[in-house]
Amino acid sequence: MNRAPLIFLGIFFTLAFSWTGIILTNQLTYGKLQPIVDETENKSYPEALPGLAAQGKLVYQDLGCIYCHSQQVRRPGFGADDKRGWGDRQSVGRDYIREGRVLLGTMRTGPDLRNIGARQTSRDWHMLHLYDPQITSKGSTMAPYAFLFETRKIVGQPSPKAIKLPAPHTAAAGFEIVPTPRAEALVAYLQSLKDTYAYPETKNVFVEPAAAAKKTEGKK
Amino acid sequence: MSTSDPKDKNPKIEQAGASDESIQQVHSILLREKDEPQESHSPMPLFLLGFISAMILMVAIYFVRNTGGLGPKFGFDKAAMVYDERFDPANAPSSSAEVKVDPLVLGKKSYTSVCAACHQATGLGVPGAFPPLVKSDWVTGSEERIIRILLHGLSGPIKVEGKDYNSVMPAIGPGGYNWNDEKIAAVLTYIRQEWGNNAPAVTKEKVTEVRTKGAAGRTTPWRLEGQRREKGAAVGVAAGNDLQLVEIRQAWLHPVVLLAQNVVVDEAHPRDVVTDRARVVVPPPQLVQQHA
Amino acid sequence: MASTPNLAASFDPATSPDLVKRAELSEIDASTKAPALFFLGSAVLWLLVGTTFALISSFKLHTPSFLGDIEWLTFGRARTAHLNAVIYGWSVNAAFAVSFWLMARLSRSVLRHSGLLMIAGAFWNIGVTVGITGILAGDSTSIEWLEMPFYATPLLFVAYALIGAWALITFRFGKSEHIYVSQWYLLAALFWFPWLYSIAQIMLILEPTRGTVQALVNWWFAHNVLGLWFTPIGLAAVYYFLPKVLGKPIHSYYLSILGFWSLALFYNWAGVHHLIGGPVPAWVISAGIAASFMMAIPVIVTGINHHMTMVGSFGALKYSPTLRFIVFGAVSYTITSLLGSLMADRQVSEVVHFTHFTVAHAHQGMYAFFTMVMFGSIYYILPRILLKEWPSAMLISLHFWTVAIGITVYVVGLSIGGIKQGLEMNNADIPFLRVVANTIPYLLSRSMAGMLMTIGHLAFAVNFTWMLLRPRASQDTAPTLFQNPPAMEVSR
Repeated sequence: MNRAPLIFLGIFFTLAFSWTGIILTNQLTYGKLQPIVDETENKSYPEALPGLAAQGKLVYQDLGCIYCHSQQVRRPGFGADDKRGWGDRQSVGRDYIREGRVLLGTMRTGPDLRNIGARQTSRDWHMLHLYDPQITSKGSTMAPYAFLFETRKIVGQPSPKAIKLPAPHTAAAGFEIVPTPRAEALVAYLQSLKDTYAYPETKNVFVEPAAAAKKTEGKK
Repeated sequence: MSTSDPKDKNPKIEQAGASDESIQQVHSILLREKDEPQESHSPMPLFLLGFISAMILMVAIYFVRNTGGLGPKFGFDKAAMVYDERFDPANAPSSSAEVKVDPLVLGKKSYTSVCAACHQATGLGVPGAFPPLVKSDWVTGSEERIIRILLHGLSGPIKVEGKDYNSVMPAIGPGGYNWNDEKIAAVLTYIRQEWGNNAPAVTKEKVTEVRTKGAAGRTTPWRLEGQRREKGAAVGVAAGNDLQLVEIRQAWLHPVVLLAQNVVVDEAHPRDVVTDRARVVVPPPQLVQQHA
Repeated sequence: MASTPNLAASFDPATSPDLVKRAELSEIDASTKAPALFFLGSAVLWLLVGTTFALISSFKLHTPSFLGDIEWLTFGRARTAHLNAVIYGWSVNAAFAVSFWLMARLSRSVLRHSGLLMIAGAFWNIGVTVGITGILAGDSTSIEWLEMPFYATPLLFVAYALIGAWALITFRFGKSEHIYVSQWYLLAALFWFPWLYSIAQIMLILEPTRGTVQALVNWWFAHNVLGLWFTPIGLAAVYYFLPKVLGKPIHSYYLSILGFWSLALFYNWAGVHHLIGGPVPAWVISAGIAASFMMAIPVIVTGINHHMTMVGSFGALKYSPTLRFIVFGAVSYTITSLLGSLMADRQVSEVVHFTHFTVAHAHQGMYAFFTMVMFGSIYYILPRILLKEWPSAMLISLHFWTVAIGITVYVVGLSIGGIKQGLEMNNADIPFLRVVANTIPYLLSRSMAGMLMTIGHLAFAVNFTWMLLRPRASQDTAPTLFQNPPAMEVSR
């Protein structure tokens, strides 16, 4: 008995079923979310990446940062994401709709970076940290990215973009350490990462029944 | 079809004749290739059926309890916006209900986005151009007056903290930035309680009241013009009423102030303009539109 | 036992004359020789490449300054090169070789058009080489399991199209009437994989879908590569070699059917468990968790089927390398899958998500299950296509023990480390750098396990090459019975 066509149908159906349920349904429901225009601030959220930050995102991808850093904040109470200052609300789908490539990540060898732009605004900190993570974070297992920097002879005035490294990395006399455009772009990208807008769906949270009862009482 | 009894305890593994050579131990099996594999038809153990039924039941219960609201009345479109699996649409604030917003937070955000451009984040304004809000009784004084200013804007010369200003403040309410009443109330609450100001909050309801009753139909900014009134000078108006901002109309020689009949100059705010050069009685509460 | 038993008695007393069947099988084996050797040789080379990148990445995680100045080897790229080398290099090449050989045997049809397969193999391996080089150069797409840059994937596509065409031809010409369970799994795997890969390429790279729908596509794809490509091929191999080596039938046909269809149904949905707590709708996460729980059914059903087949024959593990690797793999499959179902629980995920525990779990699946099954299969297949025996039993033994102990240390060490990491990460009072510092001993244990496994891989590669190169000598015990049936030289 040639059961092959039956087997084939079953194999096809199971794949189609999961694709429809997981991907198609969600593309139809929340895949078409639009940004929200906030009239007070005359901006639309989520904000599009400024140009340098967009280039920095390519550097982020090229160096494989997602393999140690996630970019998704879990809700308060689930894990300690909020207590660690990684975000004050759960990341929602709308936060990512402007991203050409969503880089959620699945490892936290290093901290979550979704709101690093709100948490760490200093360009200098980022530069030092990238050059050698041990400078700012002793004991870190993050790789050093000194190759994103250029050591060059000071010609005329020192560059205003040069970074000041502590020993033993301090540049030799007459030399300066300047971030390459890739480093500048990467830092610009990191500084752009902040999800602070409160979309309407961020209110869809679980409410303890007792508190809900009080609310309805108050409304009466 | 099966040629060997699966319960047979003697495996059909042929061991090498001479088992002392290590190669035999490992490779002898390869020599005796058995028949191609077959399937026996032992029935499924009963406990397995029980196990499978139990799994289906438990997992179905789990799913139903963690759908994040998905259900007959809460379709995929709405469930797509729920990221918390414990969410229960019945218990949640409905989309139409107002969710409590901290007015100071909203107020500060609103102030920063629009007002700070002129009045500055410090509230000190720009001398000669935009009046300060710090310790200004324009801000901390009559709430009706400040609500009206926000609703419709203010233009023309005024005096704040002893300094002259002559600029245009755009309407923040309808006809201008079109903020809703909640936002206007929030920003007013904010400026009345920031930078050392200490005045009572402004409620959304009050803003609504002023907008719909006192100044309904107004489309142009308020103007305030006239001479400074020294505190204590006789004016000749009844005492005791709240100050109402009055409309002035430009006359060909002097600015003329129209006074509602029962308006008084609020003695606490003597800088508000009053002129006794001419008085025309206008039945309250109608105020006359300024000519464009 | 002093004398060799009668060869005739070692045949099953089946009703049909199986000498003809045996001759047929030897013909089939011979026809698979060229493509199987090509894919297996490539697989072994990629295994060594992948192992090198594995060691580099592992060292970098606890000693970040290791090779820290070399941009091409920065952790984000080296780790990705490792993953792609062991998945698309070693695992897929081995999977292809084993699948072809099994398909040919089970369809009882000579492998036709092996030239197609060789060309496919060339395209595939060139594609993977180009892809990994691109990753090291910085062109990674940063989409997990799909990192090879756009200029490599068309080569893979051509390769697979050729293989797909070949598979259909072979299946069509098959002479067997009954479709054995391994064939269902192989058919399914060969069908599913190209769809998964193509849809992922389209929806993530060519026409990227919106926002976190990308994450759903990514993890539907990546998890299904594990569950609908590697798992079926691994199970197909277990379902073939277990009864084959033992000379016993699989315990229950009904359990096979149940196991297959429940796997097909539930595994498909389980991928969403990679996004627990993430920015996708709660209902789809719950669906993924539910499917992950339900996966216990096919896993337990298959486990029972295998176990009941083995019962009474565990002694054979002393003798057969194939059996040893296969059984190690099958048992690991059961353990890893049940652990996976457990990890899908939200409370468990809250702790282990984002930690080294998931890395341990991934390696338990891809290595302790799939790779070990591939090793076992290769130990069986190679003598049959080369008509030689493995040169060194010592190397096989060394191979087995180093990788078995190695992967056990790996999984146990990182699992414990991962749980600790997760619990500490969920305690905001513990500074993040301290959490990191506490993982270092476990990362060191992983490096040591990795070095042990490297020794095993080298032993395997040496044995493999030696076997390839050494001439067919008379001291070889006769390869298969029908080479010289009457003058059969039995082992001394």
